[in-house]
Amino acid sequence: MSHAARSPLAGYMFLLPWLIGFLGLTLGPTLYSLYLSFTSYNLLSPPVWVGLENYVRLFTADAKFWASMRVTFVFVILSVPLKLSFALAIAILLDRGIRGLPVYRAIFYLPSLLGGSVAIAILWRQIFGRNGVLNLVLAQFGIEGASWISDPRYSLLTLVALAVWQFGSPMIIFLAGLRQIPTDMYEAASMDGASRRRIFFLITLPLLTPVIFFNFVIQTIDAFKAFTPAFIVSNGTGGPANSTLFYTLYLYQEAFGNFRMGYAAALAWVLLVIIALFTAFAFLTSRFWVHYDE
Amino acid sequence: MTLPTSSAAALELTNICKSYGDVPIIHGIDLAIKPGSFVVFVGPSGCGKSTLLRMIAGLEPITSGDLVIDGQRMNEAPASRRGIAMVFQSYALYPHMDVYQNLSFGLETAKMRKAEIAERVSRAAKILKIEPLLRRKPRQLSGGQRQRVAIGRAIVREPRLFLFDEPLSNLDAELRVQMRVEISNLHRDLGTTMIYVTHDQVEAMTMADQIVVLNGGRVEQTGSPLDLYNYPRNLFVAAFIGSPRMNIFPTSALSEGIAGDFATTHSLGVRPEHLVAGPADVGLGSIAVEVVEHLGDVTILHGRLPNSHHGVTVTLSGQVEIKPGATLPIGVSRSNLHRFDRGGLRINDGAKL
Repeated sequence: MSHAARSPLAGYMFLLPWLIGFLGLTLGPTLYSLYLSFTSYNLLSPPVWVGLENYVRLFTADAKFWASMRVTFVFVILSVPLKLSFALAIAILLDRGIRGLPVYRAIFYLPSLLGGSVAIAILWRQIFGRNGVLNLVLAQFGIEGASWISDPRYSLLTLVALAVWQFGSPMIIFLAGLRQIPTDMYEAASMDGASRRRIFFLITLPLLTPVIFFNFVIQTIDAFKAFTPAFIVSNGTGGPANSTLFYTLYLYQEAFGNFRMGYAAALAWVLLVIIALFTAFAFLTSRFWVHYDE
Repeated sequence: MTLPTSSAAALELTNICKSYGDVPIIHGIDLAIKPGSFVVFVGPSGCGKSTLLRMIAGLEPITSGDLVIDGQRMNEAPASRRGIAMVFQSYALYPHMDVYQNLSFGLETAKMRKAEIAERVSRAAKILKIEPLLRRKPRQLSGGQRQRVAIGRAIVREPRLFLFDEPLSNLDAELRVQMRVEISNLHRDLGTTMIYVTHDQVEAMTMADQIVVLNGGRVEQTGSPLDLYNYPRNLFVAAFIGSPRMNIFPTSALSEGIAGDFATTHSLGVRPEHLVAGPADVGLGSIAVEVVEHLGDVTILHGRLPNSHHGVTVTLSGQVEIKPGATLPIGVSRSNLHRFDRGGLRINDGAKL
């Protein structure tokens, strides 16, 4: 075999480990789940083709689907802006060039490492429960706290708080973005006599939009997919009164509680389409508000 | 225009010092700048010229000394109160704003009336010939156009003092020459005092009324371009001003007959363009030519002195037929000799200051 004919083969050989993983563990199951979404499948007997029935039922005859959709949207709409604002605020404070920046950065990043874990979700229950830490502190001030987790009015908010608390990774990215803004832009503005506020809104924020955009898309996708906290905090019920029934949690219940794999696959694909539509929308509108330097 | 009293200076620096922690960077600079003049700070990188400019601008705190602008001490005044506009090396244009917004930003910050802003912007745009570009973003502009916008942003503020921090260093050679002329024209038209920082002695020589040569945080010499060229006060200025640089010969490198004439002199400086082929007041012997550069208008020879083999550069006018390996007798007129003592300071004689 000539050298020229041999070399592409060698290339594919090197590609193989990744290719096997991608086809076997990502693309294969993805396509299979698309197929399953058109079937009725309980894991015990083979899938039965039902056409669009799962999707029709989702949108026309499933109150829980709409309830879970509502919970997830409220969660996304509340947690993403709060988390990003918080991350940006802390990043700006750290960017002022305080002593021991690496230490603070590590400390503030810590919740992001821990946040998605089961242990933290359990900790959250301890903090926000009827006899939790939060109420103990409030009691010191003579305030009788609610049972935050078991009151449907507040339960979702405790999960929003948990999400916002994990502001570390967008914060790190904001910090890097702030460092990218050339100091002479600020110097030019300060020679013009611009106030801090004016500099922030007219220089910093616009120049940070590529990073804001990135964080916004990533965090929104993450928020749509949020699962662990709701699962642990409500013991997998989505309660009280479906107030923390995240879309992913409902999907999980259908798949592994009721063994309706076909229906759960349809739920998963609807979420995928929602996320894809949102992302496409974000990219389409980005050219009106995201400023790229070059 | 002659304004002899120091109080009439547009800018006056008295014993200005700058340290970062315990490390002194600028060692007591005294300088008076006449209104309307074009002053160039020139020096090698790290000489403190940009730091000095930034202290004048108010971007860098002054450790000690006095900064007086138009008779007012301004050490602590914030940058925006000093009546100064600065053109940055990177231009520092706001990438998310179009040219008009870039030009008007400072005026809007100062809460000027819309009509006046529009008038000032259009006047500046006209001066700089960037009127068709007002709605473009900086990324849609060429390097030269960005440079103009950066200057425009300074012009609209109608400052009493312009500062330029190596403004041409990001442009290609051809554009640099063109912008040099334009900035000089701009200075003539506006008549405002300008301070210009560069490491390029050609820019300094071509643009300045007054050059301040800085080295290691000290002023080596201040004077008009020709003063510096004709009467460099020390070896540093002698070598820094002029291209190709001045030949500096230790007297020990010269043949005995010549060295004997200059007993008190430690080194002799001769500019390449003052060396002549053939007989002259002071003959330096026949050099061995190593490299010949034909530039068309001049021919530059690099060679070695006889005996000491000390390197020498000779610029001969016109196109001279000579090959590497040849020998050429060279000499210099006595009036074109620069003499320096052991400490590198100029030795004044009757002919030269």
